[in-house]
Amino acid sequence: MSKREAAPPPPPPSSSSSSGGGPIASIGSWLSEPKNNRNVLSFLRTIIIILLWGAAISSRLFAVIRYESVIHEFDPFFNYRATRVLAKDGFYRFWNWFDPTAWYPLGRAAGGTAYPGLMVTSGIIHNFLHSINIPIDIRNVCVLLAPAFSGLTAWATYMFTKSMKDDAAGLLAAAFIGIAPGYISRSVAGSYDNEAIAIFLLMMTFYLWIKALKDGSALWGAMTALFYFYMVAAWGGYVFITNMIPLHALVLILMGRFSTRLYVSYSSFYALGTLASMQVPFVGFQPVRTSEHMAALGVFGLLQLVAFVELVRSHVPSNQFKLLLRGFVVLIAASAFAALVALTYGGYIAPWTGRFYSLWDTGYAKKYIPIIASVSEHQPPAWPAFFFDLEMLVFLFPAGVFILFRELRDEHVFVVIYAVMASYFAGVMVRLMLTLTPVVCVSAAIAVSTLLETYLDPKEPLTAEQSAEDVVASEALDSNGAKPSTKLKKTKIIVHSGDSSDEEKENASEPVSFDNPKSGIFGLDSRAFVSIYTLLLLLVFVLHCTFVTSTAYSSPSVVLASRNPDGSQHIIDDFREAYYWLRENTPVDAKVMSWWDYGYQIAGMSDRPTLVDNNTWNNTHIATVGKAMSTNEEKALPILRKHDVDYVLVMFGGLLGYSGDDINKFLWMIRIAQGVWPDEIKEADYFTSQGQYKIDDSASKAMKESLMYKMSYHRFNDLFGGRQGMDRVRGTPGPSVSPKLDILDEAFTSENWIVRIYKVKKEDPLGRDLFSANAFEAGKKRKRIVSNSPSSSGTGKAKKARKAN
Amino acid sequence: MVVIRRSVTAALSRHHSSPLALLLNSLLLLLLLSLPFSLSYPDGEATTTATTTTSSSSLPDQDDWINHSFLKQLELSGSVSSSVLTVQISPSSSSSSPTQDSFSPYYFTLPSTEAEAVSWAKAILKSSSQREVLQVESHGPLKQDASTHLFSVRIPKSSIPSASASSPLTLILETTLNHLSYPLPSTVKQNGEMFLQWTGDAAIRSPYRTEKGRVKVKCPHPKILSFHPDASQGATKSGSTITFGSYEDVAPYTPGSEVKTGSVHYQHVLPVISMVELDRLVEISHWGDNMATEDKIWLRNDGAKLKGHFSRIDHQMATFYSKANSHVLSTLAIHLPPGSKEAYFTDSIGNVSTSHFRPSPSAPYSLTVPSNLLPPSRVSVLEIQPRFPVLGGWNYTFTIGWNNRLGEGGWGKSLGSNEYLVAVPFLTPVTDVAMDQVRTKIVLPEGATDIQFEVPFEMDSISTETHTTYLDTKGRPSIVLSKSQCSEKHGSLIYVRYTLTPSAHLRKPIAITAISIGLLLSAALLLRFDVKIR
Repeated sequence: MSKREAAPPPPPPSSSSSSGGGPIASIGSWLSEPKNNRNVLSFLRTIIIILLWGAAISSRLFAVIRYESVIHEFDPFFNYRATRVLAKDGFYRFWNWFDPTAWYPLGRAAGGTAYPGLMVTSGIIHNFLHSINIPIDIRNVCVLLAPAFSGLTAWATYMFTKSMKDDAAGLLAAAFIGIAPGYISRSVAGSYDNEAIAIFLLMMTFYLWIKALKDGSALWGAMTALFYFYMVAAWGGYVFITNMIPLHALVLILMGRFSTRLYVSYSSFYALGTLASMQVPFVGFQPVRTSEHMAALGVFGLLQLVAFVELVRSHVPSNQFKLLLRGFVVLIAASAFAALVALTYGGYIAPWTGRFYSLWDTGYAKKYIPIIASVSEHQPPAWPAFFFDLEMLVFLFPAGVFILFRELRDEHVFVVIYAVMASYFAGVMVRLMLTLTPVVCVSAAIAVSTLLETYLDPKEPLTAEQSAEDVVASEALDSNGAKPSTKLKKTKIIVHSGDSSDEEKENASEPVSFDNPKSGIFGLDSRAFVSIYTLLLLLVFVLHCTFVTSTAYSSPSVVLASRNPDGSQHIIDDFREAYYWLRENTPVDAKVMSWWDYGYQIAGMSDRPTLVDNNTWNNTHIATVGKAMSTNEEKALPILRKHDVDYVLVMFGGLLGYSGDDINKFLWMIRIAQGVWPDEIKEADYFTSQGQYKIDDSASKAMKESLMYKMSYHRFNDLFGGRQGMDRVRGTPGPSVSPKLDILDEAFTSENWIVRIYKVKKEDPLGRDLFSANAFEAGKKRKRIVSNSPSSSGTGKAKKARKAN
Repeated sequence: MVVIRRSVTAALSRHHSSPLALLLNSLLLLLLLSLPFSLSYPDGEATTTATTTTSSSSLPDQDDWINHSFLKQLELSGSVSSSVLTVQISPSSSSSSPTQDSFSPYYFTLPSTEAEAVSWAKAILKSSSQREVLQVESHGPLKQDASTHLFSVRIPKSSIPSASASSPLTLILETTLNHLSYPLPSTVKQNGEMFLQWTGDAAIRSPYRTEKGRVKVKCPHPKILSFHPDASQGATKSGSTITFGSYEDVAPYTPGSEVKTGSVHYQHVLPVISMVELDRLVEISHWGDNMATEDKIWLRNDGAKLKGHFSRIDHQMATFYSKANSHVLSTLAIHLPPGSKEAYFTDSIGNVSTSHFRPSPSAPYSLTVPSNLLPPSRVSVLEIQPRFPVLGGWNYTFTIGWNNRLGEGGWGKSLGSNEYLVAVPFLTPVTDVAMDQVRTKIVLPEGATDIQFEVPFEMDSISTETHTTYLDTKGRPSIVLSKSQCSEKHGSLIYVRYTLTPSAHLRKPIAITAISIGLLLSAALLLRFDVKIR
C-alpha cells in the first residue's frame, strides 16, 4: 500500500489523444457538437437499417436466382391459390370462399378456415401496385413477400432491442435477425407461408407492448392491440403472444412491480385486442371459450383486483382492512379458477387442443394424433440444429440474458421470460425454433454490444494505485467501507450494465458506469485481441448464415437440381411435369387421390379436386385414403368408387434416389389408417417376421398386396430390361416380379418416375368384375370368388368341366 | 384517330420463295424505309388476299372461258396442306358479251370441304411476257348447290390476248388448306403408326369446259395404304404421288352434277400440330430501343388420339432404340426472327427448363421473309420441349417471348419530324402448323398519336384500345388484330406509323420524378411536425 501511494500518479489519458490528429480530430470536434452528432447518427442509422434491409432481402433470394420465381413446398401453394382468388375476385368473394374441390366430397369453407392475414397483405400490395400501374404478377408478390417482410422484422427487432438497451445493440440485433438461418428457414423467397409476416408482427407487437408498458400509454396499448389483431389474422402462433404478455404482467405483479402503467397498458391491450381478434372468422369465439386464451383473461381479472386493492389501500390506512382485502383477492382468484375448471368440465370452455398438449408431453402426439407426429417439423430438434440455425448466437444468448438479468427493468423481465419459454418450445418442436430466433438475436446483440462497448471505449480506467486512492477516499466518506480494491485488481474487465439504476442497491458500491474511470480495460493488446476476435466471430457468423441459407434453406422442393457430368445444372422438374399434365389433359372435375402432402400442390398446380390436403382437419378422411393405399386391391376398389376417384397419384423415388417418396411415408399412412380401423389395418403386418421394413421379395404379404406398393413398383423391372430393379432410396433390389394391377391403369409417369399417376379403371362393359376381366384378358383361370357371376366366361366353364372330370 | 390503309405492302411479301425474290424484297424494303413514307404508297396495287363476300352466289356463264388444261396438284401434309391449281385458259370464241368493264372475271369452283379449309389464297396470271398477282375473291357456296364454293379473279382485259392468238393465258391458284386430312383410325396406340385420310375431288370441277386435266395428290410419305379410285379405275401411283386422270373434254360443272370423289389413306410420320389459340402481345419501347413479343399459345396434337394410356417406359425404350414415336410431339423448333434475344419459355406454373435457344445477329435486310423460310443459320431458333411429350389429342398451353432491337434490328425507323414507322410480324410462322385463331395486339409507346397502319391481308376484326402498363399515366394506344384460320403464310409484317413528340417521351420520367419528390417532401414535413399533446 505504501509503495503504491509513493508512486507519482500518471497523467490521466485523455480521449483526444487516442483519436489521432489532423482531419479526424476536426471531424471529431465537429461531431462532438450535440446537434451535428445527432443528425449524423440518425443519418447513419437510417443508412444502416436500409443496408440491413437489403442484406436481409438479398440473402433470401438464392432460390429465385438459382431456380426461378416459384412458390415453395406444400402449404404456400394453398396460400398462393387463396391469394389468387382474392386478387381476382376481391375481398368479399375471398371471405366467403367455399372451395368445393378440396376434401372431396366434403369441400372446405376456405375463407373461414384459414388465417387471412397473409393473403390480405399480398392482395393489398398487389392492388396498390396495380393502382399505380405496375403490372406485377400476383405470384411475384407472393414469392417476394417474405423477404420484404424480413426487412421489416429487422427494423422491428431494432426498435425492440433499442428499448432494451441502446441504438448499437438494436442495430446489431437487426443485423442478426436479418441473416439468422433460424428465421431465414421460414422466410426465403417463395416460402409464402403465414410465418413470413408473422415474425414481423410478433416483434412489432412485443415492441409496442414494451413501449406501452414503459409509458403507461393507452394509445400504445391500443397500437399493441392493433398489431395483435393483425397477428391473430395472420398466424395460429398468435397464442404465443396471448400467453406471453399476460405472463409478463403476472410476473411483474408477483415481483411486486404493479403500477398504473402496467394496468393501463395491459387493460387497453387486452380489451381491444380480444375484441379485435374475435373478428377473424377462423378465431371467432375462441378467445373466451378455449383454455389457451384463459390465462390472458385471468390476468386481466387479477389486474383489476390488484388495482382495486391498490386503490383501496391508498385510501384506507387500516392494517386489518388490508388483510381482509388480501383475503378477498385470494378468494376471488381461487373461485375464478374453480369456475374455469367447472366450465371446462361442463364443456363450455374447450380444453387444450392436442397440438397444445404435445408441447408439454412430447410423446402425446405419437400416441393419440399421428397426423401431427407424422410432420417432420413437429419432431423435437436434434441438438446440432441449434448451432446450425443460430451459430454463435447460441452461446451469446445466455450472456445477454444474464446482462439483462443484472439490471432487470420491467422490459428486461419480458425478455427473460420470453427466453425461457421460447427455449423450451424450441426444444420440443423444430418448427418453434422460429419463435426462439428473435429473442436469441436480441440477447446476443445485447451481449455483443456490451462487450464491444467495453473494449472499444477509449477511456482507460485509473490504475490500481489511483483506484486505491479513490477507495481510501471513499472509505473515508463511506462508513461501512468494504474492500473493493482487491476485487478490482483481479478483474480487469468489468461488465457494463447500462445506466446505473437505483434498484440495484447491492451494486451501488461497485463501479458499473463508464463515467466512473475505475471500470474499463487496460492497454491496447487486450482491447485489440478481444475486439478482433469478436469481429472474426461476427464475420464467421455471416459466412455460416450464407452457407446454411444457400445449402439448406433455398431449395423450393418442387424443383430439384442435380449436376450434369460437365458440372452444369440439371433441373429435375418431375412434379410440375406431372401436375401440368393433370391440368392440361384430364377432365376439369377429375378427382385425384393422393397422400395429403400433395393435396395443396395438386390443387394449386393442377387445379383438380383432391380428397385430402395439407389442411388436416378431418382425420377420418385422411385415414380413409391411408386405408385405400395400404389395403389390397379388392378392398381398395370400393373405397375408390365411393369417393369417385378418377386418378391416383403416388411419388416414387426409387429410380432417382429421391428419399421423400411415398414408400418412405407409407408407415404413417398405415398408422393413421390403423388409428381408425384397428381391425383391418395393422402396422405389424407390414413388417417382415424379423420386424424389418422391406420392399424386396422378402416383404410381408400385406406389403406386397398393398396398393401403394403395387403402384410404386408397377413395371419397375422393365426399366432394367426385365431383371430385378434396384431401388436407390431403400438401397435394396425391388420385387423380382413386377406387381400386376387389376383396378388401375398407368396413366402417366414423369420423366424420372418420381410422380406416377394411375387411372381407376371403368366398370367392365360386360359386367364382370375387374379382376376376372383382367384374368380373362391374360388368358388365366378365373378366381373362385366370382364363380356365380352371370356373365361366366369360357375359362370358367372350362374350369368347371375340368373339375367335373 | 386511326386511318387504316390496307393492301399495300402485300406486294412486298409476294414471291418470297426464290432467293432472287428475297433479294428484291430486301432491296424494296430498304428503299421503303429510306424514302419518306408517303412515297411508298403505290395506289391500286393488287393483293393476294381472298376477300370474302358471304352471300351465296350463282354460277357464271359457262361459255366465257375454255380451260385448255387443268392441273390440280395437292400436297398433303399434317395440319397444313397446300394446293396449286394451274389452268391454261383462253376466252371462248362464242363469248362476245361486250362490257365496259376493263376486267373480265374468271371463276374457280372448289368443293366445300376444301373451300372451308382455305386459309390463304393467291392467284398468279402468267402470260408469255409478264407475271401478275391477282386478287382472289370468295363468293361462298352456290345457291343451288352448297357443296360447291365459288372463287373468282379479275383478269385485266389488257392482258387477254385476242381469241385467235395461239398462246393461252396461264392462271395459277395457290391455296393453303388447314386441317384437310384427318386421322384414320382416329385412335392409335402409343407405339403404333398413324395414318391420315384425305377425301376430296378426284376429278375436275370447273364452271368452264375443260379440254384435258389431271388431279395429282402428293403424300408426305411413300407408304400409302389405299387410294380411291384405285389403279383399276385409272389412277396411278408413283412413289408418293397419286395421279387421277387424265380426263379429257370434261363438261362444265353444273349444280347437282357428280364430281368423282377420291380419297387417299397415307401414313404420316410427324405429329399433326395445331395452335388452337395464339395470342400475341407486341410492345414497342423507344426508351429501350426494344420490341418485346410475347406469344401465349394453346397447342394441341391433332393427330390420332392416344388409345389406352401413356406408358413412360415404352416411350423411354422407343427413344432409347431411336425409333421414337413419330406422331408424339417431344420438341418443337420455332424460328424466331433474326436478332431475337432474351427468349423465354414458361407456362402457367412457371419456367420450363427444357428448352434451347440459339440467337442470331440482326438482319434488317431479311425482315420481310417469313422466318420459317430463312436458313437455320440466319434465324434465332427456339427449340422448346414441352413439360411432357404431347401425344395425340393432348394439349399444352405455354408462353414464349423474346426481344428485338427496334432500330438496329430494322424493325423501326424514324421518318423525321417525330414520325416513326415500325414493322411487326403478325405471327411467327411454323411449318406445317395450323393456327386456328390468332389475335395480335400491338402496343405503341405512350403518347403516340396519328396512328396509321396497314395489314397485309384481310383481318376478321380490327380494333383499338388503351393498354396501361408500367407506371403509365394515360395508357398506351394499341391495335388489336384478329384472324381465324392462319398458317405459316400469315407471318407477314404489319406496318404502323405514328407520331411521338419529345414531350410524350419525357412524360413518364417527369411524372415519376415529381411524385417521388412530393413523397419525400411530405415525409420530411411529417417527420418535423410534432403531434404530441403536452
